[in-house]
Order: sequence, then C-alpha cells, then structure tokens
Amino acid sequence: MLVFTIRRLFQAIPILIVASIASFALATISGDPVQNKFLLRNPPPSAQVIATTRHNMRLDRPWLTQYWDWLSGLITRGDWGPSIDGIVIGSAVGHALIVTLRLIFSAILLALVLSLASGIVSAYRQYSKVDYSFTFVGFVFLAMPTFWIAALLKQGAIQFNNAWQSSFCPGDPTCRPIQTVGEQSIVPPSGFFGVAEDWFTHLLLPTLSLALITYAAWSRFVRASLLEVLNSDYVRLARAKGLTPRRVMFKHALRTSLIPMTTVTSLTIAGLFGGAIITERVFQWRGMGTLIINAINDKDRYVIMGWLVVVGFIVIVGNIIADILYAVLDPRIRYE
Amino acid sequence: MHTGTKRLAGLVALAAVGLIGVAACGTGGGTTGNNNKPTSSPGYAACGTSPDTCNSGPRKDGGDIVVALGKFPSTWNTGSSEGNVVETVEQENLILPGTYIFQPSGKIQWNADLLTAEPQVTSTSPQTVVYHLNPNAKWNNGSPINADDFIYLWQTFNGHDKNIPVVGTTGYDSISQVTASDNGETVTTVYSKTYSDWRGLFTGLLPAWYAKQKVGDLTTDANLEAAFKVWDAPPTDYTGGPYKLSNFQAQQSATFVPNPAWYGKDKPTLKTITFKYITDQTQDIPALQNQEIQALDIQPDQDTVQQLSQMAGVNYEVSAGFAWELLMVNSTSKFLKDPALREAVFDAINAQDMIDKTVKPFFPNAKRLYSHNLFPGEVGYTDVTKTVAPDEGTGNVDKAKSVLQGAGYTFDSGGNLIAPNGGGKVTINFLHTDTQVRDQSGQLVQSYLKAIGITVNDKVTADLGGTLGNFDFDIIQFGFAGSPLLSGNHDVWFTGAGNNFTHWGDPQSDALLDQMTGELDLAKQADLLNQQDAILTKAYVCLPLYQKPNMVVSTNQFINIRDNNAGSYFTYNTQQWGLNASAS
Repeated sequence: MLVFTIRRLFQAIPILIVASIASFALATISGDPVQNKFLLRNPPPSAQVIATTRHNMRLDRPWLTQYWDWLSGLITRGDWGPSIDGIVIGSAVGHALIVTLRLIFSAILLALVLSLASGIVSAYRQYSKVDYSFTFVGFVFLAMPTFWIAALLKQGAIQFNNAWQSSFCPGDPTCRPIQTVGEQSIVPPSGFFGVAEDWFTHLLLPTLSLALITYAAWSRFVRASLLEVLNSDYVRLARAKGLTPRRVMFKHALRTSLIPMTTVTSLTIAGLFGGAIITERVFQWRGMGTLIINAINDKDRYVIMGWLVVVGFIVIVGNIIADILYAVLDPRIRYE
Repeated sequence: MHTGTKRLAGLVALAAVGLIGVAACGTGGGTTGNNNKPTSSPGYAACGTSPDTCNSGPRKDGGDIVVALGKFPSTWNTGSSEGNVVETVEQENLILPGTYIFQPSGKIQWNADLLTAEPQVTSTSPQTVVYHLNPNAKWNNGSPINADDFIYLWQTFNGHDKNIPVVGTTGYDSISQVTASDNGETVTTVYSKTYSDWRGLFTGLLPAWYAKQKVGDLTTDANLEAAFKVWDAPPTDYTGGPYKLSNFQAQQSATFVPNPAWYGKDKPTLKTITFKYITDQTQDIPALQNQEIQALDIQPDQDTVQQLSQMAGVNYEVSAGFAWELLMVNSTSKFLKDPALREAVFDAINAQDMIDKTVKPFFPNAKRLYSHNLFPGEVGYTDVTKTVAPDEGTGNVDKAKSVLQGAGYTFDSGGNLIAPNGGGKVTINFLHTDTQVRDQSGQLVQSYLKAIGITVNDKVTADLGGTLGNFDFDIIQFGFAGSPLLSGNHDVWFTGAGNNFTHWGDPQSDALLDQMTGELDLAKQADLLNQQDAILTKAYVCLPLYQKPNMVVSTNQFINIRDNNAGSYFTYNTQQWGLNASAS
C-alpha cells in the first residue's frame, strides 16, 4: 500500500507540471498585470515605476525563464512568486485554503449524511411515497444551479432576519440569526460557544448551497448502488439464511454499495472547489474562490499559479485517498 | 428522515417567499416624474445643486456604521504601486491629514483643521509655497503635525532614492527645498521648476515620528528605504485624523473608533466606522437589505438603482463624477488615419441618442460632455467641442456624407463606403469592455455608421489596458478618470505621451500643454486647456460622451454622508458623519 501511495504521488508530479505549464501559458496570454494596473491611471505613474514593477513581477524575463524561476523558486525556497497587489501569496493561499476547506468539508459532511439517509430509505422502500418524494426533491436540487440556490437562500435569510428583528429585537440592526456576508463577524465573539455560534451562523447558508446540490446527485447514486447490491445473489443468500433486514442492510449491503461512492466523493471535491468559487462570491467568503477570481481580474499570474498548485495537489491526493479507501472497504482489492 | 425533509422543504419555501417579498415590497424612491425613472432619494435631493453641503443635518451621539468597500488592502502603503488603491485611500482619509481637501463640487479647499490660513504662493520665481500649521494639530501620541512630516514625505517621494518604490514622484520631484520655521509650524516649499498642481501635494501626511520610532534617524537613504516599508502594516498605532484604526481583519473588515486627540472643529460622534470588504458589487444590495452594511459608494447600474428605489429607509444619489466616457480613435489605423473620415464618423454618431438609450434609464441627469479637459462647474469650463465642431456627435448623416464625398469617398451599389484611391470598402473595429452600457453602445455605433456605409465590427476586449497600450483598435469606448488638478491632461494629449492612446499629436497643442503645466493661475490654466481643446476637437480623435455616474447610498439613520468623485472620495468628511438627530 505504501509503495502504491508513493508511486501514485510520483505519477502526479508530471501531471502537476503539465497543468502548471498550461496554466502559466493561459495566465500569460490573459494579459499584462502591470499594464492592467497602471495604464488608465491619471496622472500615470512614471516610466521608472512601471519598469521597476515589471522587473519585480519578472515580466522583463523570457516566458520560459519566468516559468522556470517560479517553479524552481517554489520547490527550492518555497517562494510563490511576486503579486501585482503585494499579496504574500503563500500565506494568502494558506488562509484561503483553510476558509474553503471549512466550507467544502461542511458541505461534504452534510451532503453525505443527507444522501446516505435518503438513498438508503429510497432503496429500502423502492417505489414507495417516500422514495418518490426523495426522488422529486433530488431532481429539484439537481436542476438548480449553484449561484441560483445560493442567491435564493440568501434572499430567504434576509427576509427571515428582518421578520425576526421586527418580532424580537426591533431597532437593533445587529440582531440577525443568519449571517449572509463573510465567514465571521466583524467583532468575533469570545469563548468557545460564541465562536462556534458565529461560525455556524456564517457557515449555514454557504454550506447548504453547496451541500444541497451535491446531496441531490449523491442520493441518486446511493439509491442506485444500493438497489443493485440488494438485488445481488449474496444479499439474497443472507436473507435466506434468516439474517435480520437491519443486519442485511448495514452489515452486508451498505458497505459494498459505498465502494463506488468513494470515487464519486473524491472526484466531487474538485467540483466543489468550482462550486465554492460561486458560493464564496455570493456570500463574500475570502476563500480559494475569491482568491482566484481576484487574481484573474488583476491578471496576477503567480497567485493564479499558487491556486492551481494547491487545488491540483488536493485533487490528486483526494484521488489517492479514494484508491486507498477502495482497499479498506473491499477486501478483494489489494495494491501491489 | 421525514422530519428533515419537511424542514428542508420549509427552508426552500421560506427562501421562495423571501424572493417574492423582495420583489413585491417597496415604498418608492425619488423619481423624475416621467417614466418613473429613479434619480435620487430625499436625503440627497439637493446634491445636484449643492454637492458640498447636501444631506447635511444635526447629529446625535453614538451609532455604529458599516460601510461596504469593493477592495481590501493587501498593503496600507498607498504611496506604493501595490497599495495605491482608491479603497485604501478612502480608509486612510480617516487617519492621515492633508493640506487640501477636494470638495464634491471639485473645489480645492484648504484644510482649516490642519492649517491656520490658506497656503500662499509667495513667489513665482522660484515658485514658493508657504504653509502655516495649526499648533493644536497633533498626532495621537501628542507629537505636533509639523514640518518634520512635510520633509519626510518630500524626501520619500521626490525620487532622489530610486530604491524607494513609490508609485509616483510627480510634483515632489519639482521641489528643491522644504524648510521649517516658527518651531516647525511654518513650512516653506521652494520649487526648482514651476508646478501648477502644487495643491495636490502633501494631501496625505505620514507621521515622521512613527517612521523614526521604527527605523531611527530619517536622514539616510537606507533608513528612508526601511521607513517606506513601515506603512505596509495596518495603521493601528498612529493617526492624525478624526478616527483611529482599532481592529483590522485581513480581507474582512477594518473598524475605526474616534481619535481622542483629534484637534478638528467637528468632533466625531459615531462610536465606530467599520469598512466591510464586499468585492462583488452585486452583493451590496442584499447586504444593505440584511442591515449588514449601512452605506456604500459604487458605480451604479440600472438593476442597482431599481432595487434601491424600492427600499424603504435608504437614501441614494446618482451623480456625475470626475470620470468621463468617451469614444477614442486610433488616428494611425488603416482607414481612420484620414481626418475627413474621422470627421464624418463623429458627425454620424448620435451621442445624445447613445446617452438616452444606455445611461439615461438609470442616470436621468446624464448630459453630453462638450470638453476633453474640464467638467461643468469647474473654473473655466466652456462647451468647447459644441462651439468648434457643432455637428460632432449629432447624428448628422447628410453632413457626414457631404464630408466624405468632398474627400473622394464613394458608395458602391450596396451602399457600402469605398475609400478613395482604391482603398476598398471601409470597415472599422469598434472595441469595448463587456458591460451592458458599452455592449449597447457598440450596437448603436454599428447602426449610426451603417447609415454612411461603414461596416463596424463590434468587438469585446477583456484586456482594456492591453488593447489600448497596443493600439489594437480603430475606435474604442472606455472611461478616463479626471481630476480637479489639471496638469494630468498633459499626458493624455501630448504627442507620444503614456496615456495618449490616439496616436495623434500636434506641435501647437503640445506647446499649449507645456504652457499649461507651468501656469499657477487656475483660470489661465483652464483657458490654455480650452485653446488646446479646440485644436484637439478639430482633429476628430476623441468624442467625449458624458460624465460617468457614481452613486452613494446610506440609510436614513445617518447624516452628512455625501458622494465625492473629485479626488478625496466619499470619506473626506467622516468627522461630520453621525446618527441623524431627526431620524426616529
């Protein structure tokens, strides 16, 4: 297993390098960050300032040299490169990653709980009213784009907050049970419960936005996978042996049906990074989504590269973890 | 599970009801009376005629205001190229004193809190300006705001040390000497060459005492270089303004509290001013609805104005700013290098129609701008382009065709314009960024020029800077930032200058621009620019359209907040902001 993991990690290196070259080329083609920043200033900065900034941004070097300097700097010195906005890229990416992972893991957790519960019930009571209801809800969420559901939830929360305020705390603009902007309050409360409440009230809507859509797809997957297993011979045998339905479901059928879910879950992480871009925008979280949008707007190529390296690494690691989980869940699978 | 589903359905239902509620509610804002087009709401009704005093009123103590800003500072050093961002300057207005404040009307007003009298030009040769500082003006640690701060700023920004990465040295590099007298309360600046925009200097003083505390003596270049980096950090330790930064959460918010050492006439009454960074403008209105913010200053669009007009308790104003929208011609492009064709194109374009169809729906007060250098209300403004080229921008197709025929252009059987001397069918690339207003403009320009047989390729650029810098256009629509300080116009029109994207130049125009930058009298400066404008207008390389709108929004709980597009921004008077005494 260890050998397999190390081999997979090494296999990931060329993938990351190719992806980084492609991204660096695209970031370069998208425009000149110095020109973008200074060109319409009135009065314009002096030629010396522009030349210095171009030098600091390494734009006075050949393209391949720029890429090599970035790659070698990152590997040998942990230098993520310069930013046109003066951002310290390493710490900015680190901070943004923590924020986004908080959102993604909350969403995955919620989506997993919801999809497993509804998927199991739907499969167990196939073609019942409950199954049809879950199917209907699943397709409703599946049909909703992330940005739409996020905006809808946000507007609903605003109405709820206003109704709450006029009922329980009139005249107090800070009285809001659900927060719609940012990942924490301007003045975060102290104490464990205060911080937890602050996190929860900020996390609620973005998590729901991401989780509901993910849940919709996963619940269909769990249902289909579980139905397939429930109709297999070994489950029929288990039933024939007189095992209780509960034991058949949780001991024999569910574990097997979850194996494909590990792949789906790990692959969804990459998708959730994409979804988080929209969700973070709507709820003004300063995570990886905001970071990449701002970097693209400012043509800040080294920030774009920093984002790519981190997200690429996470996706690759996610896939490796999925492979390892395969082996844990399915005793027939062994990696050499 | 069953219960969970119910809750989920309830939440979705709640969200849907919320949307319907938002769409249905509304008490109606100010309208122009015709077509129910919103313009401004009652608090700002007087801003059109009295921009410097509108939305004024008595305050009561207390209150916390949260103001949305579109960009968070990655560095607080607004003198550096990275930190020279409007939103950061807007926050530093609360803590850094300056000699002049640009009023919303464009009037350049000396700072009566910092100075005891209006600064005087005591000599024109060499130009000498004397500042008398208020002896009560002090930094928060009790150090006087004095000549040391002027000298430090000058030494940092005058460009003598190329290792200090300042964003610009203009003006400071024209000063040869800054001297102190009267115990540092009088500052005398002597210029090596005349600098007409001297009022724009020393408008954000930095505390020399703090730089000394951090790096030591400020007489060596090494220490000046080290001191420049001091300003990158959040300015929690110093203030010379009405407020002090008390809490900064990177990328989230900055909270300011009153500065107890504030020496100004108007004392702050708010308990806190918090700037919350909302980088997506579309999220401002929901944040306002959820009372997470109480004020903002943004670029308006039709949807935003419409939503605001339906919100109760919110005042807003859409006003003409110091930025202007224009059509610019690349005078070296294949067809438009011919002045006759440029003239015909400008005659055929109907600028008023463009304004009516693109910006009037949300900016009913939008008017055509008839100057390339000045804005209405500024000293010396005249309708230059209207006088010099009365048909320009009027959609006068007959005049345009007559100009073309006079220059040897013909029309083929399909009505297409054919350039003389076998130049072929005239086709023009019209570039703009992808905004609603400019997309509509592109379609309109296509239709105007079709009337004179010109095919227009309407193209969108995602890289405005690159398109301009590489002259990769025939005609381009974009906006230019203007300023009450006039010498910036030099680099926009001077032959080969960095911001001259027309590729056009004229020796007489250049001479007038040079003369203008050396003129200290504002009225004479404006007169020289008007003369230059007449030459420029006759070249048909730039068609001014209108002053771009800006918008300030605040809830009616707060008073004395007003827009300022003239260079000091809407936070220029935060010491006067407060809870509205007459609000319930």
